[in-house]
Order: sequence, then C-alpha cells, then structure tokens
Amino acid sequence: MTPPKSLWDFLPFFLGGIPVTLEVTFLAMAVAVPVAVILAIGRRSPHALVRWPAGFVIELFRGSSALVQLFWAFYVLPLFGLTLPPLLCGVLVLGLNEGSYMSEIVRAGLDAVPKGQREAAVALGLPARYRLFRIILPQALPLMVPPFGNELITMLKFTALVSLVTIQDLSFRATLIGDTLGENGPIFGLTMVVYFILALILGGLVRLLERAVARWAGRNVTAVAAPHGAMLAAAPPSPVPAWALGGGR
Amino acid sequence: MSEDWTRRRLVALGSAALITPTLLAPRLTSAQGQGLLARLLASKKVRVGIANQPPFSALNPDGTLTGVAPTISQLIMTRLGITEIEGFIGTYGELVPGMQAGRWDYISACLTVTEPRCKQVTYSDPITSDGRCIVTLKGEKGPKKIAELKDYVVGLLAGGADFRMVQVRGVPLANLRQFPNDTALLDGLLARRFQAQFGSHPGIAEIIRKRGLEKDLDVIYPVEDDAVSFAACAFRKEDTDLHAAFQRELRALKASGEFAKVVSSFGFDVDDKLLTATPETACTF
Repeated sequence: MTPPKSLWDFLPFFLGGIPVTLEVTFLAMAVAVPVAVILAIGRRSPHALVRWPAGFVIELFRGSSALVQLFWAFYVLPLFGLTLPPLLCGVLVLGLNEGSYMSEIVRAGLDAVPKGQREAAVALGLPARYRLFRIILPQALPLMVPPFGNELITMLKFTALVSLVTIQDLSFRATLIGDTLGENGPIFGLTMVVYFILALILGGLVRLLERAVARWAGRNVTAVAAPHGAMLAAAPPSPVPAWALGGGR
Repeated sequence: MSEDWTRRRLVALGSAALITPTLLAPRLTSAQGQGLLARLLASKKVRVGIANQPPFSALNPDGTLTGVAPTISQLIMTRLGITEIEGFIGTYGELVPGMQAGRWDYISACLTVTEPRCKQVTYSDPITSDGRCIVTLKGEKGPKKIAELKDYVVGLLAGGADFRMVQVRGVPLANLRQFPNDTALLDGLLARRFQAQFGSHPGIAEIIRKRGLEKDLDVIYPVEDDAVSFAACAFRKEDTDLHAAFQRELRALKASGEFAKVVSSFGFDVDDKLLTATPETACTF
C-alpha cells in the first residue's frame, strides 16, 4: 500500500484547476457576449420572423435547467451522432445560457437610450455605423457594464457545473481530492477561498473595464465613481460632434 | 433600407452558427462504428471511463490514476500495444451512459456485475469481489441486516449497484439518499442526513481507518443476508474485438500470478472464486 497522503501533496494538482476554470469562464463569456448582442438586437427587431426566434432561444436557455442542458449536450447529443468534446459542451451550454440572460441587459441598455437620439441621428442623415458606434453605444454601453460584471462573476461560479461532464476544473479536482483523502472539509474550504479570490480579481478587472468604457464613451471618469447627484450634475458631454449639431455656422 | 444592414448580418451570422453543427453531424457519426480494436491499435490511444473510489480506483497527487481497475487496465493495454490512456472520471451511474454515448471506449472501473447491467454491456472476467457493510453512528439504534434497512433512511452511492439492491429488498425510494462518493457519504452520515450507510466494504473501511472514525461509527461487516458480488470492467456489446483481446490478456495475467499480486497489493483478497469467475457465472447478482 502507498503511504498516506495529505492535502499538501495534492495542492499542485488542485491549483492546476485554476487555469481550467478561468479558461471555461472566459471562453463561455466569449460565446455569451456575441450571443447576448445578437439576441437583444433580434428581440428588438421590427420583423416578427426575427423577433420570435430570438425570443424562443432566450426562453429556451433561460427557462430550462443549465445542468440538464449540459447532461443533454454531453450524453444525449452523441446518440444523434453529434459528439462535441467535453470542453465545447460546457462552453456552449454556459455561453448560451449566460448569453440569454445577458441579452436582457443589452436590450435594457439599448432601450435606455432615448428614442429621440436615434431619430435625431436619422434626421441628420448620419450613416448607420456612425449612429451605432457614436450615438447609441456610447450612451448604452456604460449602463451595461456593471450588470455585465455581475454576470462575469456569476459565470465564474457557474463553471463549477462543467465538473459534472469530466472537465477537470477546480470543483472537479476538489471533489476528486476529497474523495481520495476521505475528507471533504479542508479541500472544500480551500476551494471556497480560491473561488473568492478569483471573483475579487474578476471584479477588479470589471472596474477597469468600466473606466475604459466611460473614457471611450466620453464620460467624466471621476463622475462615474461619484455619488448619483454628482453624476447628474456632471452631465456627459454631447457625443454628437459640433458640426453634426449644426453649431458654429 | 440601410438601417437593417447590421441587424441582417448579425442574424445571418447567428443562424449560420446554429446550423453548421447540424450539417457536420453525419460526418462525425461515420467515424464511429466497427473495428474499435483496430482503431485503438492504430492510434495507440484509448479513452476509459473511471470511477473514483479508493482502493478500487484512486488518484495520485500528480493527477494520474491508481487503484485496482486502472492498474490492471494499464497492464493489459500495454500488453496490447496501446500506450496512451485517457481517463474520464464519473460516478458509477454515469459510466454506462457515457460509454453508450461514445464518450469513452470502455469502462475501466470495478463495476459491480449485476443482471440488469449484463443486458446493457459485456463484462470482462471479474477483477475484484466484495461484500457490503452497514455503517451507523455509534450508540444509535440501527439496522443489523439488509432486510431491516426498509425501516430507516439509507445513504448510498449514486447510481451504484447497491441502489437497485436495496430497492429490491423493499427500501422505499423516498428513504434513499444518494451521494456522489464514499467521502460525501460518510460526511452525510456524520451530519445525520440519513441513519444508515449501505455500500461496498473496502472503500468505506479505508476512509474510516484514514480518518480514525472507528470510535464514532458502528460497522457491520459481513452482513448476514448479503452475498459476495463481483466487479469487472465493461464494454459495449458491439465491441467484441476489444472485449476478446482484453479477456485474453486478463486471463494471461491471472495465469501468470501477476493479477493476484496487483489486486492483493491494494488490500483485496484473491481467492479461487475470483480467479475462476467469468462474466456468465458472475451475472446472477
């Protein structure tokens, strides 16, 4: 028989789960963001043929258990001849799920831009790309970033689900080590701390992103961090250039 | 209308992303099918489904696997000339569905040989035999044999063979608590989430010994109305070539004495019954 092992012996194996967890988090987020944008735009479409499928996808992924979807992708799809690798299964299911939730964030952000802004831009004859990137998004994006940060951290914790389809992330390794040591307490305590630290780091990254977006959108950086009153007082400079407003002529 | 340009593009891209996998599907299917052994030999690589239940299967600190089933499997695959083994770890209940779904080529675990499973898969010759034990908290009133389990809330491994066994013996489903592994089971018992733990003896005994829980728990083993069961690796029914090759090498290992050496090194008894049992004789459990 082999000599008894301690948690210490398994530490390198356990920490090896951090890159896996982060990989799944970011890949799934890379799926979720475009999916959210596509679904949100689809749902706002004036054409029923676009609006309904987008609504259907959102309700499908939001409305059924992510765990069941994951098992379905992993164990059932192969019976139909489609065998996706475990990582792809996990990333797609998590990404589509989170994308469905986030599409509502994107939609709310887009809806929050006063209708008059778009109408004015159209009336001024600004090209579509200019309208999107210079008029709508600078006003909508800063609103979307904080809830997006929430979802990023949710995704980090969400990834523990993929441990159930043989992906060796933090949770998977924790379970395995607990099982091997015959003791769950210490390893799950450590796992919680590691998730907490990762979430703190991601939260910090989101704050950096918030600042970057605010700067891109032409907002006063300090105003973003200031209380609401100050934020209202420091109204954002108009994103529409002076020539487009017809000023100075 | 130029306004729809972005939207249309995005919708087209989105639907393409959704449809492409469906178109690819038939091509992926044709890669599966006959000649599993030949394909494994050509790639020198095999994917196996594994359970983590020391000492049947266990984890090394470097992430590689040890335990009876992985060790025997490795010996046999080396003899066949397959050098790379990729392991996928799941609970006992996930091993058969995962293999049927093509996630792994065979099950390299000590999967208890039971009658219903014999209808789903082809077993190798047994590699371990074990009995079950009943564990209760010291000082608590508890069941002494399997027939008495029906009056208690019973904890056991998710999807294990014991699950069917206790149901056959009259324990209502509402009284069963399933756990993913032996460690979680013991913690569940200590947390009083159920009254009696029922499961394979060697794994539970090892954890109790490691954690020094002998003073807190009563272990009934052997249980008087229990019978010895066998456990073996399992294959898809259609993969007769891989199964035949595995059997040939396993029997060679048994004949040379190497098998007994490996199995007893993990603390298991090797008797004549285990050495002579075949899938056919074991399938009555």
